[in-house]
Amino acid sequence: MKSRTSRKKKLHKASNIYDVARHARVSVFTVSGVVNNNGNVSAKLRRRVEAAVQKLNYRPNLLARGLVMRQTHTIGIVVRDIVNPFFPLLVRGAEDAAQKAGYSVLLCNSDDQRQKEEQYLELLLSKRVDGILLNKAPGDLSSSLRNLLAESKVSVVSLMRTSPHLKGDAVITEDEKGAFEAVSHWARVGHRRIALVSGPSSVSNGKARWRGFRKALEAGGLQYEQDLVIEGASIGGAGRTGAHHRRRCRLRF
Amino acid sequence: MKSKGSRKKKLHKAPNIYDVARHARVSVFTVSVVVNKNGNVSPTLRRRVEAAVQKLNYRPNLLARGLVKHETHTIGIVVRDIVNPFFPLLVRGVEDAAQKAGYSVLLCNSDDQREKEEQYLELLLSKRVDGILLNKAPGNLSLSLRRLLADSKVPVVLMMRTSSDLKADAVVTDDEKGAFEAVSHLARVGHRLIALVSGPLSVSNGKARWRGFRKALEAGDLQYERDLVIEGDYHIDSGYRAGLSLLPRRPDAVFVANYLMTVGLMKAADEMGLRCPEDFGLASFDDYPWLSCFRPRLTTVELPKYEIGATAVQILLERISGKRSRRALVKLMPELHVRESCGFMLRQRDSKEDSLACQEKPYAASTAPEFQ
Repeated sequence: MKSRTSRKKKLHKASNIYDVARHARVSVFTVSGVVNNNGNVSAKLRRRVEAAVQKLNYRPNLLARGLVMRQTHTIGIVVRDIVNPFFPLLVRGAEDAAQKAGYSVLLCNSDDQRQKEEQYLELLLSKRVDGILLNKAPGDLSSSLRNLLAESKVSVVSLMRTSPHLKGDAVITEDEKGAFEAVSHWARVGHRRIALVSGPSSVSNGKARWRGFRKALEAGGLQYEQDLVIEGASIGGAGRTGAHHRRRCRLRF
Repeated sequence: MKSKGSRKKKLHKAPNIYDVARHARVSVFTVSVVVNKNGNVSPTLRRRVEAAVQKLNYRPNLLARGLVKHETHTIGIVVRDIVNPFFPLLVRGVEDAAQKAGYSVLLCNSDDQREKEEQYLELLLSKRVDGILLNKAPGNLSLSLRRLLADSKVPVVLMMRTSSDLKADAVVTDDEKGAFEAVSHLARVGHRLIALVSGPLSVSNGKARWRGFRKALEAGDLQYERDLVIEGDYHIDSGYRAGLSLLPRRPDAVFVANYLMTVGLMKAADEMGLRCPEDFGLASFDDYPWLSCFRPRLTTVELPKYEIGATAVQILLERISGKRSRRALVKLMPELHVRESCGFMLRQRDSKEDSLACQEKPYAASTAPEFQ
């Protein structure tokens, strides 16, 4: 408990808008007008406020602003696992676009586990994010979480995977076509027996890639052989640790 | 302005603690005690509050709580670029450790640009994060930002790179030793003329890898040849350019200070029709799962990326809770992974000593503290 109070004391030192107002001998309203550039303040007052801001090294408390304006300028992104080489560039795309628009990004890794996903979604709502980008884990969200999302009015955009229970916007890729093109290419090259290591059939893009494979075989007049098709599990798995990852690094081929 | 007003109205719908209190016919204080589990409430009242929480689907507003308690349970991490394959595992180590302790992570990409870095640091302070993890861009922070950081008392932990103007805790790797071991290995394999594509010498680990290279040459009685040393910037392009100018001088082997520059150098070698390890040996910093399945399988110095992130969070949390007062400098140990690009296996085959087949052997155990 001791450390708590000492921390509080320490943090109180950050100067707030009242300090600036006192120092510049103006009203809080005037300081706000200058700092947010949204009012007419005389040049003289403006200079006084700016000098006080400089002197006290004042920065607006975005937390307080978020609470009042009900906008935190923060969005959450839930991906399976940032270590999966698919995701860094996607996350970078999100962060760049968000940053340009003045938003920050909270990063969450669900490991494709519904339970972790739900915990993160609850947390993001509690932190009052303005929106959520979601690479959905397999399975449906619980009805209580769906209610929570609906009531919060926080918009969710699905990435890569759609889900029948999420009626929001979605950004996906044309995976069926991609798989169709790749497999058709093999067929054109002259391969007759083509195997598939598919993604999980419980997620939309796993199914789409399987459909593309299947259709390309049909189009090429090739046989679909059940024992040449294996459904891959997602690697994310429970209990991943650095050590676990390093063991994977040492796989020999 | 219209849309703002309608947005406000929409968001007002989230039930707050007053709604719960009204619904359960108790005081706000009672609701707070039940929700935060920090006091005694009679079972009857508790049940009424819990029923109201359930009915209204109430979730505490962590934003408001953060404002009152001066704790946001959010930390910021500033890395160069999450797309650089070095960082995802480090960031994952950070996020896992943070999440276990009840913290969320704001991710920022500085692109190694001081200006962007400063903008992010200002933003993180304004968002009142409880702490910051920083992979420092080259150069010093501005005086005003340093003052702002000091005034805010928000702790900063540096990762991978130290900085002379930031007297903060740091988690680094022993890059000098890693480079020394890799280059010594190249020398042991029999390479005499060894070239270096170094990282930027303006950052601490770029210099450390250069020192390790230099010391290994001395220890092996090999010549340091200035025109076989090129300073890169850790990006693919600079590795490619270094390859174009180094490889025609036909060094026996090249040591490259990170993986991305290795990718560039291999592209240059491919264009020149040079093969590795037949025409030149190669060892490189950074290890990844895919390196053991693409040819040539690279001999690398692996850095414990996940542990770097997890250790940095541990130190940061100690700072946040006030448990740490002494400055920490944690040095984690790299591991040498001998595969085929160094030419070791090639020589073994030539001398028909197949029994000494190469094993990936760590030369030093990681000193990472235990987690979990």
